[in-house]
Amino acid sequence: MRWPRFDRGACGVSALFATWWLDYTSVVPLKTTEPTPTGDLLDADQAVIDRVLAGDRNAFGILIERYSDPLYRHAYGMTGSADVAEDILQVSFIKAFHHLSEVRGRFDAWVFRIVANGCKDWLKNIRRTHLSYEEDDQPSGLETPEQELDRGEMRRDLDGALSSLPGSLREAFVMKHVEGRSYEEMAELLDATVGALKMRVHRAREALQKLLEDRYS
Amino acid sequence: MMQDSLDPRDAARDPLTEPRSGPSAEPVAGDREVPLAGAEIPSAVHAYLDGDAVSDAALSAAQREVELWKRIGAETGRRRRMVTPAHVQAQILAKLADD
Repeated sequence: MRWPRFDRGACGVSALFATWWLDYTSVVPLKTTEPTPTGDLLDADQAVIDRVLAGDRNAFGILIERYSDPLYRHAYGMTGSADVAEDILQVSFIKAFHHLSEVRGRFDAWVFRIVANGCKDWLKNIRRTHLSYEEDDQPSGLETPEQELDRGEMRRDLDGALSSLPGSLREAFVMKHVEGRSYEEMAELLDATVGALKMRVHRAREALQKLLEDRYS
Repeated sequence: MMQDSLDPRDAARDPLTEPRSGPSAEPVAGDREVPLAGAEIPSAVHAYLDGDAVSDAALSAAQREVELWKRIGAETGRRRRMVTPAHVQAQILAKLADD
């Protein structure tokens, strides 16, 4: 479904509804990990790259299909906009296509850095007030209007809180909690230490909790 | 709309893949800063959120924080299941074909 546009600068939310779809009685660690490509997949990527460089440009679609979802989630998490995320993804894959002969090592890590830089460039240049935003078309899977409204409120509040974070903290939080990456994979992709990234994620959590706890605790 | 970086420090970098301004450098220009003296989160909650083993007793002592992070986790979990809109791949390939 498509949600109405809203003014990011006016993220105020009305009262919470009592019914939540989460089962609060079970304590389950939230961690999930984005799978790291195996050696076979890396070889398969290289085979596709070789095909594209030999002139089969349609083969590039295999790489888009293989890696666009985590990249889209990253761009969406960083920008809070489905439209901008699509735009960044398109520009990044086109850049990747034109520079494909420069790939050394993992294609997924290389293209991730292109997308991540695209997000940072966008953040540098955007005027951050009164940003229009449209929800993605993903089905929620929820059942009642109250649950849909609750979800919409948390979505908007989380977007508003994320937009207040410095870029490096937002990036670390999104990679950890939205993309579900391990600290080790984040360190590899961002060329930073595990300790530094843990610190960024922890600082991001503390800032987000400060912003959200009055409303949701 | 994508825009090229205006940061002059980016000129000497690989424009495609080199990190912009370093991951630990100053915040991205244009970010609205929040006071980073955020809420204090018990270490057990950080460990829980990192997927480490945490005792039930430690989590019970931080029930308020745990419940907040479960709500946040429900939203981040939904985003983790997002997929690229179907038309994006076709648009990319169409643009490449036009080149």
